Amino acid sequence: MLAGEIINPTQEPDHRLRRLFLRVGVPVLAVILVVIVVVGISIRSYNATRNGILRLTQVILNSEQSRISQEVANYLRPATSDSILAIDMLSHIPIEYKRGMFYSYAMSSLRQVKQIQSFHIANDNGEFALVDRSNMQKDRVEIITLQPDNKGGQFLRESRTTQGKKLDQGLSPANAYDPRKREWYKNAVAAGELTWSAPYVVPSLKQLVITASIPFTDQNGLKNVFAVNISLNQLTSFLSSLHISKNSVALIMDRKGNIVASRDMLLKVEQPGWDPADNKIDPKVNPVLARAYDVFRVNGYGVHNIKINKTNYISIAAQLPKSAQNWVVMIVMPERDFSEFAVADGKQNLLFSLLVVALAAIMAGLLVWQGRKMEALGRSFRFIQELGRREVHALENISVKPEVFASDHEALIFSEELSRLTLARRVSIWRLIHHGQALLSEDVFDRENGTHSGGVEYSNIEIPDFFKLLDQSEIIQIDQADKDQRVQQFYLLFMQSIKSSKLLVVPIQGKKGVIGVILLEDSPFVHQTMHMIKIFASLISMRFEINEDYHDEQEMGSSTSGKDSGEPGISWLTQTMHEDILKHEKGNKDNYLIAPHVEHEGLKDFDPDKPLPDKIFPHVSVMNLIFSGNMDPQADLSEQQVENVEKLAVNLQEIANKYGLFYLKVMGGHIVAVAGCSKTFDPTAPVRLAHAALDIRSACIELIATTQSDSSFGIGIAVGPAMGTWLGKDPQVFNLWGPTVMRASLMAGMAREGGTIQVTESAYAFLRKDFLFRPRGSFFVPKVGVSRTFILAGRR
Amino acid sequence: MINSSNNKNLTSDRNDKTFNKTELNDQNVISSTQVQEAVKNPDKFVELVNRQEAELNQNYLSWRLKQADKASFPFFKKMEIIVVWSFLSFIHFIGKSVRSYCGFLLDVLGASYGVIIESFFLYNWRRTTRYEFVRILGQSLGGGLFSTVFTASLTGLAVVSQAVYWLGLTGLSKMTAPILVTVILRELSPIFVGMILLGRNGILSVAECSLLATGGQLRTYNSIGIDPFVTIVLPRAWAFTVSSFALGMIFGTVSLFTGYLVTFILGSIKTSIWSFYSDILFSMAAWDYVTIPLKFLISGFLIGIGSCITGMNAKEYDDPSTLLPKGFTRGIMLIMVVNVLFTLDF
Amino acid sequence: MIERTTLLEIQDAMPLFEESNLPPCTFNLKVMPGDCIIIECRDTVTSSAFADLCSGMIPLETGAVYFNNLDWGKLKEPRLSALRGRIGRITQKGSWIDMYPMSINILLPLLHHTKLDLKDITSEAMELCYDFDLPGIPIDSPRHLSSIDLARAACVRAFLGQPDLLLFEYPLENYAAELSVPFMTMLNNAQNRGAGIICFTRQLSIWSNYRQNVTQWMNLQERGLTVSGSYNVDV
Repeated sequence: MLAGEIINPTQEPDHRLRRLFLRVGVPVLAVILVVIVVVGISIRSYNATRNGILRLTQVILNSEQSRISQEVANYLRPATSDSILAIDMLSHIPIEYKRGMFYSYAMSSLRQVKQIQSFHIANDNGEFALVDRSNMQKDRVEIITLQPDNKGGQFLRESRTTQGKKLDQGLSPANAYDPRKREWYKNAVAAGELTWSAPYVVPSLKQLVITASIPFTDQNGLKNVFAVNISLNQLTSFLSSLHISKNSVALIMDRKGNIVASRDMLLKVEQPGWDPADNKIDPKVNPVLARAYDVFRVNGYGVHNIKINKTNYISIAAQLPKSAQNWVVMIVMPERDFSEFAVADGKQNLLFSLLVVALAAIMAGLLVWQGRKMEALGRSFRFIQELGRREVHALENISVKPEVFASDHEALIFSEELSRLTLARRVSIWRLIHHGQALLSEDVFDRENGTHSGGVEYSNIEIPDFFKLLDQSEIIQIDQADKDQRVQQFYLLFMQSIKSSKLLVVPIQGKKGVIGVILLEDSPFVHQTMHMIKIFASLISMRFEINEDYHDEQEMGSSTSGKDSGEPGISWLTQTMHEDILKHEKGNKDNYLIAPHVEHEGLKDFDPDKPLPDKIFPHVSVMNLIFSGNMDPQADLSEQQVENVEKLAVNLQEIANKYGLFYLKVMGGHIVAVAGCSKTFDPTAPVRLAHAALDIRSACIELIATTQSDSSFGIGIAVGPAMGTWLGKDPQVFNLWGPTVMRASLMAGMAREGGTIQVTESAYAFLRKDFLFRPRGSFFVPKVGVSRTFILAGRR
Repeated sequence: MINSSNNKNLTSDRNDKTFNKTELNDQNVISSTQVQEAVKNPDKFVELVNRQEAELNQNYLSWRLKQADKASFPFFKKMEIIVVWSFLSFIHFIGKSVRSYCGFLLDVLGASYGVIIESFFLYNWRRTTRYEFVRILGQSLGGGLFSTVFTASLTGLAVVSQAVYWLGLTGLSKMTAPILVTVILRELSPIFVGMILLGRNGILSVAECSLLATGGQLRTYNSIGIDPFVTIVLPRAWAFTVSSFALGMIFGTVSLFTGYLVTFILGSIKTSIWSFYSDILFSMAAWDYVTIPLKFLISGFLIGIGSCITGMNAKEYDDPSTLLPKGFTRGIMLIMVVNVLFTLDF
Repeated sequence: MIERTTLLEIQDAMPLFEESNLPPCTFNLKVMPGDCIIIECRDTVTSSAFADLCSGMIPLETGAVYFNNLDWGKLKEPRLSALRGRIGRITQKGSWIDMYPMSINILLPLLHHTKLDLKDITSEAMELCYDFDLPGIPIDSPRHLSSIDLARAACVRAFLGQPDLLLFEYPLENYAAELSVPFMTMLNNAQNRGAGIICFTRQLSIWSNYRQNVTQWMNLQERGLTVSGSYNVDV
């Protein structure tokens, strides 16, 4: 399986976006939909209300319009139907009663009808009479009669109360006043029917007046004209009093576009120089009215909608009765006067809708939140399920292999299952040996590579802080191992090779306290799997306890001879070694060409001057150590480094002497050690070499730990045939070569991690009695084919 | 070959109406001795079969002509048959080329859709895709920069100075800016930039992709789970899009600048460079700010896709001498289509 | 750690004749993790087609091909490509893209399929390059490399990223002397790790060194895939 895959093909696609859409997008969409629906409904209902109101308004306005026409017609009635009645009377009564009749009609009309200003009567003879409302006092009437004389006539002016009581009387010159030359008279006679004058101002009264004059023939056959002056001021006030809506404007216009009456007419009338004949609507001052009038001229009478500057207006053009000169009543009002209600209603609706939307949004939010929670729950549920499945699986896997508790059997399954459970990058199981003075890695499992290794040994001297940590016998979790003081040394020695940072230390409790430790590196699921880790710790403890007796025996044996030296292993070695040699000597004493002790004391017998007895060695043990990782050209090239290496070399020499190695060579980053360079087989040679290899390894680890460099090394051991002789002349160099030498270097090259000692299958055969091994697997070796290799885990 | 002629034989036997044809075929049936000879000498056999097929065609024509005698207007019928017969190859040619271009346009549309859709998936922008995108972007921008600046200078020299000069003569110098926007920015620059991009990088893409297709690398790509569409077509299309836009902007700026420089030196323009540019900017309609970049973007995108598709659809027997001209004409067609469409609509 | 589930299973698969160069017969094959199957096939086109069949690139008329228990025919992008990313393959032609430098060519599958740090990928590739006797990762264009170095690089690319299945088309045929040692070393490592191996060969004798680890010897010709019994050293 590829690590760090972008898309894991074995898993169904996660569809995160789709799920996100379902979980967040759908509620949001739903809220948006609700908003759209609410807004749509609001707009629709607003429009419906507005249209309804407008229809209603039109109905109202139509009735209002007829009411106004009626009112105006009523207003003008004294001049029309009433006058016709009067004329009819005047034309049918005898002449002598005519004047009296006129007076009494005028008097009663003035009393009863407010808008009437005055009555005139004149005939073809130039007789003229006038009944006028006094402009000085209320309830006063002036009766003016033209009395002709030579000087142009005189006006007899009588002042009376409206009740007819005579108050005073006076004469004033008439200045040749001839009613027959007046417009109202001439027009009426010419038309032969009721005629209206244009509105005009009576300056003395400050009144806008309109005159209706009707011609008639009296009993004598004389042509008479009866005229009524009606004040328009009253009409104007009537128009002002019309309150159809807040901002409505009403006016009466004639067919030429002149304003006959309007609300503000009175004010204008009082201004000097005002000409009623040229009283048109100014489109600049009043664009709405001008437009309404234009619309009326195009479309005729009726209710019209007009739009100016984005404001809707309703205009009504109502016809007045024909008697009233075909005047037009125009009413203009903004539409909002009526629809304001609808707007207010709409606003309220919208507010309610917003509340609904807010509620919907809250619900959607809750839904989203709930969905997330459910999903998290589902995830953790699945995780727990998966974990349980894996736990069961792990325990089952162990239960079908009871042999894992046997001492002579590998127990690789513990670390494998642990790493599968916890997903730790590396799981290592360590055993405390030498009475708790050293830690030996039983098994190190690297999950990424799927490889097992082990056999690394660290003593109390190397990592004292870590041992103190173990003494606490508690499970300890460390997040940054390279920074933590307690495990810093251990980090440099062990963890640095895979650059792990998290470390979980699980001590293995035995009968007499801590007997080992499980280390989990970079596990993301420590807390969830803690119980399983503890179970595993006790399982491993069982395995250790079962094997404890075996180890105890070994330790007892070694402690008898070498207790004071502090290095039980070595004294035990010398003992066994000598035993082995003695045993061997007993059987094959004669076959030795070079006695074992010779090799022990160095190269005495390998004097260059003496010819070598043999140049082929069938059973040489070769150890090869390869340092790697120092390829960085920027590496620290200090003298301190050189000194350290010098110390190491001295160390190595001591070790070589101690185990009587045949030779020890250093070439660049390679260290080659050879033992058993003899014609016949020396069974101690591989053992000595292996012991030396273990010592060399700890010496090198110490060096790396002190220099804190990132170099690592591997050691390979091979046993087999080799060729060798002295080469060159002055100086002569002894060199060994051949398949065994090559394979030792191959073994070293293939074991690059943290000082692993890898041995070939043949070496394993010689060493397995004295050392602990772990199979590494089968490897392809050139010319040999596939062969198995083993990791030297430690001394037995 | 033997099979097919036998089949013809069988079908005609069954069909009474084509009795004449059957007769003709019977004369042409390859005998068993011929087959035996053919095994010994296959080349000769192929020749024989070809000759017989040609005869068959000729005979078919004469048979049709004979049939025409029975029709109501035999002369016209014969004329029709002969005309149709002689135009067949021409019609075939027209139909083939039309179909191929239509097919290509549809391919480009489909691939564009695919590229746009796939670009939305983040997992498609992996390191390999990004690497190709950056590589092609650098190639097209870096490679096209000099050509663009050079062409733009020439265009500026020619168009801007001429426009400014002649418009000055006719007293329409106020119209300079709008005309320049129309001529250079809206019409010329997309075409020139498209040509530069196509010539420098589009053709390169055709060549590279065709090598991948004919060399079997595309299949290898697939076999190690790398989708060539995502790792080659997609990044190239976007890289071309970006560089087309960038080169277009450079083209516009540089051509206007040279034009200004020339007219300034000639003395027919007195305003400062900034007011010249600001005139240009003001005479651009708001819509121009959308369509001009869109032209660059879309034509770049289509050139990228078109050249990749042309290259990737290369068959084993294709070679550069047929592919590269094909890629070039197709690219030109795409540029023109984009420009014409934009001119029509906007 | 090796789970004994089938890695690759070809179940009565009959490829569409028009779409492939395989003989029109049904194929059956089962590859378990750690298996090494050597297929003798003289025809390079057929072997390529069969490798394509294993990578799910050939439409089937009947049957199915499963890889990692997933049916190639039912898998959709992007999972399809991702799954192919778990196959290491040495092809006969068209292995290298001339427009990219060799380093990109080698790292391409990992760069495409994983998020691994470039440093990690490079160091892994570096080690493989050393193993295959390249002094480092080649950077030149593939055109400038000698054919033996290209063969080495092809091996590096195939083994890079620890693929589940390795499909090799004639990996050693021309360079047995130079390549067989590192190649078989890596092959053995892969096998130990649990990868399945299918290897086409024209020359069985190349494999005499490795015969202990070969699970099955097979033969691919017009009649389809047949088991050719155990390998005979004298061939």
